[in-house]
Amino acid sequence: MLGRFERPQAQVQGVERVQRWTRERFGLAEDATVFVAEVACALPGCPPLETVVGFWTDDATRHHFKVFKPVDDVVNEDIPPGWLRDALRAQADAECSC
Amino acid sequence: MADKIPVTVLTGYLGAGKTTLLNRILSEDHGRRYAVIVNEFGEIGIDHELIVDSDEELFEMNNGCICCTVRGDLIRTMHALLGRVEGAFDAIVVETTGLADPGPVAQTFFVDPVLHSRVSLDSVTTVVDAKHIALRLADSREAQEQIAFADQIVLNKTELVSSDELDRVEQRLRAINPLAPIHRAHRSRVPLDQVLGRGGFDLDRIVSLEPDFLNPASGEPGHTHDEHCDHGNGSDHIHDHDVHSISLASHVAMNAEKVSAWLTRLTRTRGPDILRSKGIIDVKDDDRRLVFQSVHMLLEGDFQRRWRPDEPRYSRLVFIGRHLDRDALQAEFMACAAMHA
Repeated sequence: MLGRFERPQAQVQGVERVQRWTRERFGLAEDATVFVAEVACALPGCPPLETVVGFWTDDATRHHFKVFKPVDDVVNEDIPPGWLRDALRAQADAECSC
Repeated sequence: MADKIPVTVLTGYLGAGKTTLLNRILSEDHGRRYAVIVNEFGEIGIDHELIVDSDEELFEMNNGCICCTVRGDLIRTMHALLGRVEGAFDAIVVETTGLADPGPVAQTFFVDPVLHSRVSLDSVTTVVDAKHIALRLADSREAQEQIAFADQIVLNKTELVSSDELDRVEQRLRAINPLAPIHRAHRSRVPLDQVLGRGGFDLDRIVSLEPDFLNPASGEPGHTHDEHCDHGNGSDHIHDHDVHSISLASHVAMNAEKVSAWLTRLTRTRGPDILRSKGIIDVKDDDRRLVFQSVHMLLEGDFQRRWRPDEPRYSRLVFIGRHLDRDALQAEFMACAAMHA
């Protein structure tokens, strides 16, 4: 059946967990914006639900990565290593198929 | 929902009068403190401590699919605003550029769980220049989408066109978006209590916002004529790639599971084409009305209040988008009828 846009509390807690791990892994400030969203992907070959993470190291520099599982299932080891930070930088006009 | 901070998105093509309306919102004595996010400073004539400038940044989460595109600048700015001292403002206005696609703006508020838990998208309010909108609709994809996404339309600069022209413009707007009320205005003067606090994305208010929603469409049995009718609705020259709307209806009760599965599949597979949809569905063996709405691939639905005894039970769905084949969609919808269960 159809559901509400409202996220269940468990998913919000999962989001906060991934935010915290992302900040720790990439050495981000406590007030740095970390965006975490669970996205339903309709593309062939995609898992039904995946987790997209975006963070900014300055106003013009966004980094992002994906974990191919629902946010509740993401574990600390799924977050990319800190030394990959620069490689996760979004390129202008590039698509996020990471 | 009551504790969330309401967000009004002001959109409209270049020169339509968005900034004039924004200045009115900021200067009028309504007792509310607004934080304002603008993508270009323009001519905001108000000395306001909570105006934040941000550069439009599209964040494509999935291979350029518009359904998975949000606004990175809004995410950062909103997170920063919400980190301020609690109570610093009561509501937020986001003024987009004239060339902005409102889809990613709206999706940002539903996709980001942090924002969704703290703020509620109150409305997408589109300001339209009555004199030039016909030309803009002919040559601008953004102008069409701004009308399609609107919860309400401020039809501005009405003094520049004749009464007949104004009627034609309204018909054209209604052909794209039959759900949004149109407020005619001169210099963006509209009663702000009609424009703000609208609850345009509140599922529980879908029908109360559009009292004519369950009035059967023109040509259907039981249709009543009023000033909202869109007969000869200015759609004579609409091409398939233009944004338009279609309405589906049924007097046959539906199977809730089938119709839910169909809507889920439809928005998943046709999300890029279906910009917005809303509907009320009569479900067999249930006294309550099933209501739903969607923004591209984002779909929500729930059972609402009970049908009143004097109310004819009846389903109506409205889709706004491109490449919409009404007959095919009506057939798919009717395949969800309870009699086929």
